[in-house]
Amino acid sequence: MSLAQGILLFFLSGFASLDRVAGINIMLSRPIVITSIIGIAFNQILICILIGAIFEFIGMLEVPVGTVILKDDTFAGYSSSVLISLGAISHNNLSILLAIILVTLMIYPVTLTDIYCRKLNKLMITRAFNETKSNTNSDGFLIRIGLLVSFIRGVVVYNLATFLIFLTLHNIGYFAKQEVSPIYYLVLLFILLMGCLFRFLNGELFMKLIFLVIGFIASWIIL
Amino acid sequence: MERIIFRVDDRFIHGQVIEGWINHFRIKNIILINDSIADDVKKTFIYKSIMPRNAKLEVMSIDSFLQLDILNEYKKGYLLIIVGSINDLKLINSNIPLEHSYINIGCLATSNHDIPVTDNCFLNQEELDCLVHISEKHSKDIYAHKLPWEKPININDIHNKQMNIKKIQE
Amino acid sequence: MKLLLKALPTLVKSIFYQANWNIENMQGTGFSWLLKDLSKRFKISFGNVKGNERADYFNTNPYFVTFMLGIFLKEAESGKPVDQYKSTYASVFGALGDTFFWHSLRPLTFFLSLFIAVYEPMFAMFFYLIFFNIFNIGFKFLGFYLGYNYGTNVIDVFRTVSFANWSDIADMATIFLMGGTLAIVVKYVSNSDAINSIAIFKTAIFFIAGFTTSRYVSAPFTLIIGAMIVTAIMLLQNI
Repeated sequence: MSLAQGILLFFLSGFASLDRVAGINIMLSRPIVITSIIGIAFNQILICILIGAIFEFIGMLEVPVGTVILKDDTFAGYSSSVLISLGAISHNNLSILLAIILVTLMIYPVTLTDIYCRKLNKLMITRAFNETKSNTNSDGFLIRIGLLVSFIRGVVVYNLATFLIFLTLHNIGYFAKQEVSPIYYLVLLFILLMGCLFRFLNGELFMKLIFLVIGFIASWIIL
Repeated sequence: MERIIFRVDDRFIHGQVIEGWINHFRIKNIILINDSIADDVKKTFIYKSIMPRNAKLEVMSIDSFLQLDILNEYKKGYLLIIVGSINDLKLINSNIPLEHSYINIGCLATSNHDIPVTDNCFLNQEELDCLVHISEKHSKDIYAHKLPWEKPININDIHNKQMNIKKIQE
Repeated sequence: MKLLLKALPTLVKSIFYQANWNIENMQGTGFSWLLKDLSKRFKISFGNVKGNERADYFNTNPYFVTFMLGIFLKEAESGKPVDQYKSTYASVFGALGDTFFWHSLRPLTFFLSLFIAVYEPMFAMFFYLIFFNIFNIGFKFLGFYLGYNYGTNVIDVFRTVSFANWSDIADMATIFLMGGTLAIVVKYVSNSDAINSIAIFKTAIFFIAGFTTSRYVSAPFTLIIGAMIVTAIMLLQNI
């Protein structure tokens, strides 16, 4: 990894977390986008997009309504593509599937840090309730703190969790080095998640099936 | 889940209601019971405009709901009835067809945060007592239930917990 | 246009307004931060906006917040009480935005960019960002403009374009594209252009398995279970 790549990862992890938690919301935080960026930077674009597409479903199958805090799929995309780019997992052995399992499990503790960020915000706003009734400029300060915290969260938590997964994979490396080609199976996993999304989308089941079949036939003929 | 869902929600119709309840159960009939909205033509119009396709919203005052024969009017399918406060629920509770109903508390966050139930549902002692009273009177459990796929919290458990806290304090 | 230029700094700031999101007053802090900024720029008062009181509870979809700013500005200029429709519009925009942006637009954009990725992987990401942000930025600017021009009647605009149905239309388009993706995948799995019944069978099995399990299990667990099963199959084949 060159210095430029390191700097890119530093800022990418921070801004992706910020985009997800605190603001901007230009969708830099979607797994498919973040894996593509890392894929381009490390020249591993195809496999990164495929794995990003798989993790994309975790976010798509949930809607952040009200106080719901989504599972951190941004981390999943970041972590898995960094692991690919650093050569910790490879697309011609079993390690990539093990990495998917580990990264998916790691989503839960990472999401917990998101919840703690919100708690920190709550702590600060309740303090503001109590002490600064006269000070009406506190909200701009709170906004800046929120942005900073979410940036730092991204840099620290995403990279630390990725490092932990890296260590785990390194220690079970022998098992993971079984020579098989998992790309084919990644595609099957992708179809599995597509089935989940099919249920999630709105509409009568019959209508959905008709549109699915029409799309299938059209694409088969044209492409 | 029972066919008729009563929901107490101070934000009335928002993301959780549409994305969570209406789309999840494909609910076709929704009744919103609130006196001030029923009097306000514009607010009624706003709420009606955002309903998904196939879903029909009716806005009623408490009095007109009390005269409604729910089981005969809505014979089939899910029915979602939204009220704005525990007090309104108390006022309409004589017209709840209990054997077909599921009563849940959604978002109650704009009032004082005395007793936290979920992260967006807070009650005060009076409201909690009122809910327990309704629940005991009809021997029907009432739940705090944000979204259909989340685990509901029984209000009686919250009440018992609150009683225990009081005992310890004494 | 003049109006938009004058409000431009506030509109740009509005991309950060969620930074203090918390389960106490939700986006209340950010919203009053924006209101103060707007009131400075237009030299108009929105009444007693503090931002640090529980009464300032505010929550809506982040892509719709500029509609609220527009409505507030209009109401304040015409001397009406600004927060008469605050909670109504906040929850209504929350519902509209959650169903359109979060529920429907993300899958649609994703599948469109997948098709791009099949031909040119480099452009998929740019397409995703551009396509999604056309709606994002469009809603930011148009929202403020419409909110200001229509005031509390802005719902008429949504009714005219039947916005409540956009989500359904987008979902159907997504499913159409999903069918197209399945065709590409079947071609890949069968390694040829001829119809291969085994490949179709395998695809269908996984698709139906996903459809069925998602009813009972959340997405991450479906993925973990799927990955475990697939790992087991691979190990067995290797032995």
